[in-house]
Amino acid sequence: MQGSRTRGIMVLGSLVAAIGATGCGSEDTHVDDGHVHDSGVVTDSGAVTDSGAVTDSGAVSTEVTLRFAAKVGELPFRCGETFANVGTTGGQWSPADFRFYVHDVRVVTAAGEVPVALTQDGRWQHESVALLDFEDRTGRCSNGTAAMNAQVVGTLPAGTVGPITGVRFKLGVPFALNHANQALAPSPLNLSTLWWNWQGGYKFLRIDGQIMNPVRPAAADWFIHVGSTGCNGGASGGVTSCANPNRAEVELTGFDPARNTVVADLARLLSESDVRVTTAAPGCMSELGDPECPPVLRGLGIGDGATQNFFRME
Amino acid sequence: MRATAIRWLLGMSLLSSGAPGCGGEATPPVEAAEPLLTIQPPAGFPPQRLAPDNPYSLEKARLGRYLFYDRRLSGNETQSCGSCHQQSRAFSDGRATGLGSTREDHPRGPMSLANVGYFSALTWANPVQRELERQALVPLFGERPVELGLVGREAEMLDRLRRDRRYQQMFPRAFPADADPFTVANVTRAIAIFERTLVSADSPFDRFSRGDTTAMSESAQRGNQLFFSERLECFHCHGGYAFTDSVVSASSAFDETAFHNTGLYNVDGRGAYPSASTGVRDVTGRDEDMGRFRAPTLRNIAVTAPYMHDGSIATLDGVIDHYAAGGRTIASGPNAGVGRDNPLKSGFITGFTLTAQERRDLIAFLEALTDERFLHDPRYADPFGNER
Repeated sequence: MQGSRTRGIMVLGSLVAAIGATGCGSEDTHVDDGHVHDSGVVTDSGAVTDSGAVTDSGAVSTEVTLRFAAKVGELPFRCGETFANVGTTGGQWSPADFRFYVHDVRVVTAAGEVPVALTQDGRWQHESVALLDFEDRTGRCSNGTAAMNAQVVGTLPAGTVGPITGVRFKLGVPFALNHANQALAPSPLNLSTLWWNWQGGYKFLRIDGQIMNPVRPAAADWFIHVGSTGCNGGASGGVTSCANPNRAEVELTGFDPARNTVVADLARLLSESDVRVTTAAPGCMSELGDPECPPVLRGLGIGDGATQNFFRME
Repeated sequence: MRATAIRWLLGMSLLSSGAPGCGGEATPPVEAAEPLLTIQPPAGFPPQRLAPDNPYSLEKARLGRYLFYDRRLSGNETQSCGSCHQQSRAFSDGRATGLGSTREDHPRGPMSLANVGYFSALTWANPVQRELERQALVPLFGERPVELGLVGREAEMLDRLRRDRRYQQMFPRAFPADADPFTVANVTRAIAIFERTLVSADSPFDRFSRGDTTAMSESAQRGNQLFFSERLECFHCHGGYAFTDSVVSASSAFDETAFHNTGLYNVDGRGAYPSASTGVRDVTGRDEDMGRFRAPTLRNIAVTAPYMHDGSIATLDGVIDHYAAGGRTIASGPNAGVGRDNPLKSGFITGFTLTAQERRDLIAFLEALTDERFLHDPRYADPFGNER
């Protein structure tokens, strides 16, 4: 932020050389390289070499943008559309919501795991949490927000050496933020559609939809609400512990932020679910004993021996 | 504030004389038509413990009263908090289970709000609901079940309030430090402060306790003895000034929150309750929490029928049958089972026998917990006069 500070910047997250400095103290220079770049590509005199080694002796930070996408198989998610062949029996799924929180975002380099400090934008990112939002309030997504967000933007510590060969993050809201008063929380933790008040926390993942060809028409909704369950309260009011935190750890190996996108694929998440049939609670809203939950939670990598298949990379 | 509190302590009669102005203070003068809502503890009650960021003010309490009864606080503008929490029923609704603004059934019944500011846990069986301000978010924004149905519509709701000329005055007065007082948090704060004013402490039992020996009938006095006896054990869970064992006050040094399985069901012989509502287990997921519910206050219990979390007992007589049996037996149907044999049942539910006269006495005592002034106090009434 200070005019005298030099910053080595990663172009879209990869440790690309930013040689060819502009004047120190000038505003960040945005360079179009044909990719997504809300965050901008900033060049400056803090040299990052081709090999990714940071040579600048001053305070060097590197900006990284992780792109996300929501898909149903190969098709991009969009409110208002109907997606065929969802689940084990060819469900036709019409979306009503597709949002999730991530936190504790890290990238992997040769030196190991490196934390990403999220840019505090007052909208999509707060402390270590970011909200990914693929609904636009159209169609059945009428309880959502018109704005969408498909990226996580942050900064790597000074001296980080590339290349990036993987990304890791947790699905959900960290404990300390999950159980604070939602009415007082800053954005993006102040959206009532993602509050889970009776559980005293948030819906980490909310994918709502309607099954257009249900076996029993009366139960056509299919909701996926995942958050911490089995929580206990303390004397002063807050939640003290949750038996089922339900924060999924995700790792995508070989992920290069410059070239790859994190894809949240509903078709994969529901690949073991028969969405045309539902029991008392429509879909899986993390209720204990709901037979529709185990395959969904397994798909998120929650539970002993489970490996997540919801997130993949392209 | 002090003048306000003193006026209230002196009694309602002063209200009619018209409140005096505040002698040049910044606060607007008290209008005679506006009630003096207070959280001043009555005799025998401790001061309430307030949320640290939500101190009492009369302006907040008045705003909260309007919001409590305002149907604009539901998605389709058909219900307010007061729809299910009706003053004449001690702020319950007379139904077995609640019905939301979108006609969705609630698995449990609305609880009385009498003395709700003293409850250490809120609602029937949720150990994580401890603060009125936060609990209000459940009926406002909850989706399973939908109650007031405002999920995703908080901006729309606040806009409705912002457009109202009365609220354009009331919100800034209630939250003078806020540049924009129209927030969800402030809505919950004002409602919580109004709820804290809902203090019931003037039943015949209270007057009797304060020394008016004519306040309770002979029969009710005998029932009083029975209620507080080790033979019936009622008071273990329904004791104290709030007639519940989950209480908190400004002087509380320790957490006093309890949930009990009373043997109301035993559908599988291992203690199970019907899946629609299994008590604390619904939140914690622990099997040992099956069937554990908070002991509701017994104040005004005669006007809050039907009883238990699911309204499954119609009368006080039926409730006494349940406890006298040491747990209810349901002979047939999907919920059949012998509650008396529920292995998770509280140790205090052992059963008792009563003579017909003793039963009448016990019911007379429970009826002596009805606070007619509370049920008809104009300070708590719907300021919209049901017009909205």
